[in-house]
Amino acid sequence: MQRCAQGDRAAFRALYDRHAARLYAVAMRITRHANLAADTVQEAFIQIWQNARQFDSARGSAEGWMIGLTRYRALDLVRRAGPALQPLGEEPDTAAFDQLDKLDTTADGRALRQCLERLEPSRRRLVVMAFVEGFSHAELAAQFVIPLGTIKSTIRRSLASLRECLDA
Amino acid sequence: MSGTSDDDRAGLYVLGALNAEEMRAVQLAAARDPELAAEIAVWERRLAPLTALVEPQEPPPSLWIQLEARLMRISGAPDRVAEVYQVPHQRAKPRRRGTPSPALAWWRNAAYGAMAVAAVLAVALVYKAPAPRSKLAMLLPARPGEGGWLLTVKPNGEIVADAQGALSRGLDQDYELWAGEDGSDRPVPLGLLSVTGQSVIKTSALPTRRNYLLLVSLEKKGGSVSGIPTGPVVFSSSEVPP
Repeated sequence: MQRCAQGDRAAFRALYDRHAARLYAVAMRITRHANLAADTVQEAFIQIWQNARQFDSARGSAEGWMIGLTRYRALDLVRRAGPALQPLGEEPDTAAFDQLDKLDTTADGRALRQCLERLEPSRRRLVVMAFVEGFSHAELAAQFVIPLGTIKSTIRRSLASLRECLDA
Repeated sequence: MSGTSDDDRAGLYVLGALNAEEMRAVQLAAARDPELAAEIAVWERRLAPLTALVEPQEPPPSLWIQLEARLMRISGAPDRVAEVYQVPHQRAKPRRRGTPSPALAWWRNAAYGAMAVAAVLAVALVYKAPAPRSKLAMLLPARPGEGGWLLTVKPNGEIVADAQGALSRGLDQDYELWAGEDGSDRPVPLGLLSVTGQSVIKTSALPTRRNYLLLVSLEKKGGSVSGIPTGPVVFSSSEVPP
């Protein structure tokens, strides 16, 4: 990332080769459209190139920073495109939500898995679905046929439980 | 979100559960409030491992080609502001009737060149001409052999759409253009796009205060009657300044 900040194109290409597949997959889950996912990733990489100097390794990993940029871009796009975008295209891969052992590749992932497993399965699924699929409160309410207020309070309590568990 | 703590707002923002207006409010607040920005960073670290649930998926090879072309233009573009680039200034020359403006010709060349390599993504590169301050957006598809549009947004709100290449759609379908404003989760309809030649959309609906995205959806003949996209959104642009 430091070399990218100095305008090193080769370093940028290496960064792309290493992370593009992950970022594209993240964008695909949220936008559910190949064109829009590709556009999201392209804009994210432009932002990475232009703002590489702002990356602060003390606040997290380079991959985490890039995934964040991609997620927020994808979320912004689907929110602005309106509710019609979400139900069209690929359905959520809900089976993946129960495969929390995939988180075990890192210490942070293991800690998050242990804390997620303390949540009731339905609450856990809401949290994972919001993060991975980019579903808003309203979309989750429609997906699970649960009142909006109940969704909001459930998610808020779930996040509070996660915070308490992870900070313990 | 009244009555919510910074930590709640940060967690909900990172989770992705907020609507467009709430997202924008948190982004604006975080830009002024270091504590909220720090809370967001903490939640990002907490939840980041969840991306391991998404299997990596190779992007189309054309993504790198288009990205590299963008980088070259960024490096050579003067007066760059965020993702908006000035069209290189060219001295005005007398033009023959029917000759495209230098900026338009540049873009057309760019569009045809991009199509020639047959590996172009759905991408919009927004250029702002020095005078008049028209904005040009190019919407091109991911697959080779398909077409897109070159859009010119004029200062008076008029949008001129030049169809480029082969654009496919069903006989009972139309492409409809929308503006998705920053902070809004309801895009505004601008009009239908012709798949051949030039179409001119006169609209007063373009956002005037905030950046917006130009979006194209594939609708039933005549366009959406509900006021929001009902068909798939198949093209999106970069940010267009108001």
